[in-house]
Amino acid sequence: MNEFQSNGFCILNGKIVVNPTHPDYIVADRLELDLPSDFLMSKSAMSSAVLVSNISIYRDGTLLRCWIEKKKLCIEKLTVWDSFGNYEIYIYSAFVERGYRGQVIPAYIQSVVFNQPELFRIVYKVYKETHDFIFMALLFNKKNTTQGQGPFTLQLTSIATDVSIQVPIFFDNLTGTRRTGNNIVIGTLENGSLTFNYPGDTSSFGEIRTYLIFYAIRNITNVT
Amino acid sequence: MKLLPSVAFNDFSGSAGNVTARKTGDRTVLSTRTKHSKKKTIYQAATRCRFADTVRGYVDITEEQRQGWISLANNLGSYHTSTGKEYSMTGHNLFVAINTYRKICGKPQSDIAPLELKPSNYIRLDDWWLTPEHIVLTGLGEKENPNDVLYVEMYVAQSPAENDCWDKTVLVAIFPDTDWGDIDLTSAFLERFGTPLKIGQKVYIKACWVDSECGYVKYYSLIGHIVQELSIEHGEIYLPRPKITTADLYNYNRPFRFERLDFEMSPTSTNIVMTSIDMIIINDGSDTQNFIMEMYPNTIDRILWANLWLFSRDAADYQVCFISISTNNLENSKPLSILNNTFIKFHNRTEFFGTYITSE
Repeated sequence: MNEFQSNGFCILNGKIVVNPTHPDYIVADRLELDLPSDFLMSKSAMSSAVLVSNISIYRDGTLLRCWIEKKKLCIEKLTVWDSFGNYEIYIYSAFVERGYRGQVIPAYIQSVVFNQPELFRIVYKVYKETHDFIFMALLFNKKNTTQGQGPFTLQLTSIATDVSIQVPIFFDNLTGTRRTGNNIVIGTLENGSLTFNYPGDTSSFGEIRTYLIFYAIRNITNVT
Repeated sequence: MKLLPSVAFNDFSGSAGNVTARKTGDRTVLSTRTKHSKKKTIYQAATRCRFADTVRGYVDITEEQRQGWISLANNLGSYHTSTGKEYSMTGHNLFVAINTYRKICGKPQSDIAPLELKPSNYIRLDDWWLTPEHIVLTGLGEKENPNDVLYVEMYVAQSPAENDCWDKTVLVAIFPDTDWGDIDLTSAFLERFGTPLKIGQKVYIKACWVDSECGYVKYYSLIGHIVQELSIEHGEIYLPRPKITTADLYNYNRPFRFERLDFEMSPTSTNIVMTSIDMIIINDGSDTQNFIMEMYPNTIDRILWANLWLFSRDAADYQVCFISISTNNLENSKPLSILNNTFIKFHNRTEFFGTYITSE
């Protein structure tokens, strides 16, 4: 797990693999990871992580509650996808102490432009960049004409190029009908390019909405 | 108190009338008998009553219990009071001291001496405001001992010439915990002293974390400063922590309601702020793409941001949506809009949680 810390604020980047058949997991009410003994923050407001199951083709998953308590990283336990074997939890999240009165985000916003407008149309984009990390929230549409499995690469111009992460990307189902969790693919952000696949046949998708939100620490390769 | 090479009181110890004499080395010290001020405020009456009750309590305990206090006092050696004075401890004094602070902390009298005395601890502080409107300490951190309470005494100097008033501080408040490291002393101060601070006044604050079960006040932080408009450490204007609660919203006859609403932004003067959110909306109507509710006018003054992008999660089927929450400050309407930007609609019960950054 990679970390960026400042007084009252921190970012954690990393991925953990959970074995739902482990006896400790079965009896646990929540998942807990010990943070380093010199970790500054002992308690945080509510944050989030992403559960990515082991279902084939599109790895269904959802959002999990995640917070810091007594110098432990605590993650909500959801057993919905336990029967599909080990699952992953991606943590690309910020944690903040309430009442922090420092300059939280000395950020400025860069333009984020997709250079493949024939395949995707951006709906919303938020990008903030500091010396130490970036924050991004993207929502884009796959166009009806976009076919195949990919890989699709979106060059995000003007963003920091010193971020290298694997990040879960949600997309909604075709008809908006109720199902359990979302389809998820794992994208790679590297050198300002976001690359991902739709491993199934996208021809039947029509227009779908794809979205991701993450905090990523700069200058560090985020591997676990 | 007067030091006399007295002839009349030579080799004399004891009291005569209001004068008490005692030998110190080869000299005799005369002092007048202390009388309380006869002032009758609620706080003074409560303090005297508490003290008298505690003193009487020592008479009522058993000899075995008394020996326990004496033994503990002998092991303790000297004792520091909250006024900074050091005394040689007796069993009686220790019983009164410990039980006085226990009662201040809302605990009953303890007849039995504790096995050990856990001394109080200093506080740490990131910044603090002493202004006419706000008396706030921030960055006190988390208490390490669940029994700890924050004990705060204050005194306001009556003139600029009045210095070193640490022995004049009086109890202002006991806090069972902080609000994420913040303590707002404003209302407690007004209740205790009656009038707000004035710019230029000199304020003395004595504070410590004290174990409420033990009641042993030994170490405490002494912080004092002149009242000013900006914070003492960082020179910042005081900004309240912007929060949205159910009390800030009304939604007419809309078919949705909050099961939980915990929404707080970092207090900064910009509109790009870190926001933590943990809320649940129950929708009693049909599936929808948005929830819109009105904020009371004073709420919008505290909320500087315009847009927040975040995820939501359906509580039943865990579908995640890409959400925007926006504020608007129109002349006759101040709506808070929660809009679902995906093709999935809000169902019966939707959760919104996480830490995000607002956008212009």
